[in-house]
Amino acid sequence: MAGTKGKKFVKLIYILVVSALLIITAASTFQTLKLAAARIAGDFFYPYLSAPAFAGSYLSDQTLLLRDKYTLATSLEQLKKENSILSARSAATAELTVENEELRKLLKLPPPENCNYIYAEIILRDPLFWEEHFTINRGSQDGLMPGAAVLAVMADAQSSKPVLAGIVKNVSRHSADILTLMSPEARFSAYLPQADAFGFINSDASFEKYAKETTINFLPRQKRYKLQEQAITTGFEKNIPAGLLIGQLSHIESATAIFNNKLYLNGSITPAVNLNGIHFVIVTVSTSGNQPDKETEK
Amino acid sequence: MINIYIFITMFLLILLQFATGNFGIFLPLTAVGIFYFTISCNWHRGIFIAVCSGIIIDMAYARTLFITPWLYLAVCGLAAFWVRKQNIKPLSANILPGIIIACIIVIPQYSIYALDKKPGFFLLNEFLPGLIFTAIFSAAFLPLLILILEITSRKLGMPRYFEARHKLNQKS
Repeated sequence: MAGTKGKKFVKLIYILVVSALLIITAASTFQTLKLAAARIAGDFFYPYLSAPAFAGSYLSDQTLLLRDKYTLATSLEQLKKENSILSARSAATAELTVENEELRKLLKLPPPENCNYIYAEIILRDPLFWEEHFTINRGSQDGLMPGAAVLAVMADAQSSKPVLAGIVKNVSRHSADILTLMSPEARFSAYLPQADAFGFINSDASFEKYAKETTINFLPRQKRYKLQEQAITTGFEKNIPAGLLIGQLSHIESATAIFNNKLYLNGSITPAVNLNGIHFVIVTVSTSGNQPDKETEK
Repeated sequence: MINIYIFITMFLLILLQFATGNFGIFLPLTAVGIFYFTISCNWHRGIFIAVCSGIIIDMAYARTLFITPWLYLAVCGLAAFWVRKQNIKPLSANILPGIIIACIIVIPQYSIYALDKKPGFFLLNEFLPGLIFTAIFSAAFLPLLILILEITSRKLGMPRYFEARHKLNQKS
């Protein structure tokens, strides 16, 4: 009788120890497993989710072939004109690039980051977190890496300009998860040129967020800020080029409030990107690779 | 054979949910599928489907908080209760569980989503319209899905929804 009880007790202890070990293993490997599983899920659904995009492109190509010669010739002429304008602009930029390199040499500054631009289509959007993240049809196979800047081209009355839409969070082989500017997880530095002040996007969770806006935190208190002034990227982050438009300052805490003893100010930014209307994005990938900075090495 | 049937159906429902989600429409298609299979097969299978589907959806959407498997488990619980205590016949009797499924899925998810939002604006602008739309859709979709899957199940010789109560009574 005592032997049976002892055996049961040993069995119970054995089950408890195994369970505890399993729980510890699961808890310690949760983040890795989650990341791996997210990549597998992303790749598994990729062919099915990108099928409508492929079908759309194919249909568009076939429709193009159905057009008559005259329409196609007119379009070709128009494209040639646009190409020559763009070539002229590119030539002007090349001149500036040479000048910039010379000035950098004179100031003994390191050469600027070169970027590759990868065009991608949005294949999956969470309806619940519609403005916070989405999935695109490009992944590590195309050279994407976490932290890369995601741009969207916003067409206004005068021109089309690329603005910052978000940053790459996770990358699988064929797809990548993007955090938009509205996501509290998207944190990076921003610069307000008019006020000559640096701040950080989404870095103070305690600051109340307005609808359709993102927050800018830790702005220097002594500077003067104007509403509607532009916020741009700083270039401090390795894969986010400097000078990309983030949005416009829409709210700022008052520096003269009686009981305000903060050393910094918080504000809100209305993103320049219209997250409801984007279907295609451009991902900037640094061609310098992941080589460590010389300064960091020192 | 039954596992393949369930896998294909759930896979299509998940894809359909992703496709509608790409238009910004939040529809609990997978939850409705889980409700159907929990009743027509058994709750063990229902739990397995719920956990797998929930994890897949949260993984694909890259959500940080894995709440969907728990909500789908609650849908399983609802299905187990409904088949034992409520009527599953006629087809119109399934409108109410459709509405309850929408509430189970929408209310907790929107509440988590609203944590860092202004409550008044969010309630009027997103939560109430979202809940009403999803409830109406779900109330109509559950009977429709039952109808479609009943026809398919009959042809393939799979367990049927309307025979679930009878099977349960036989077992007990």
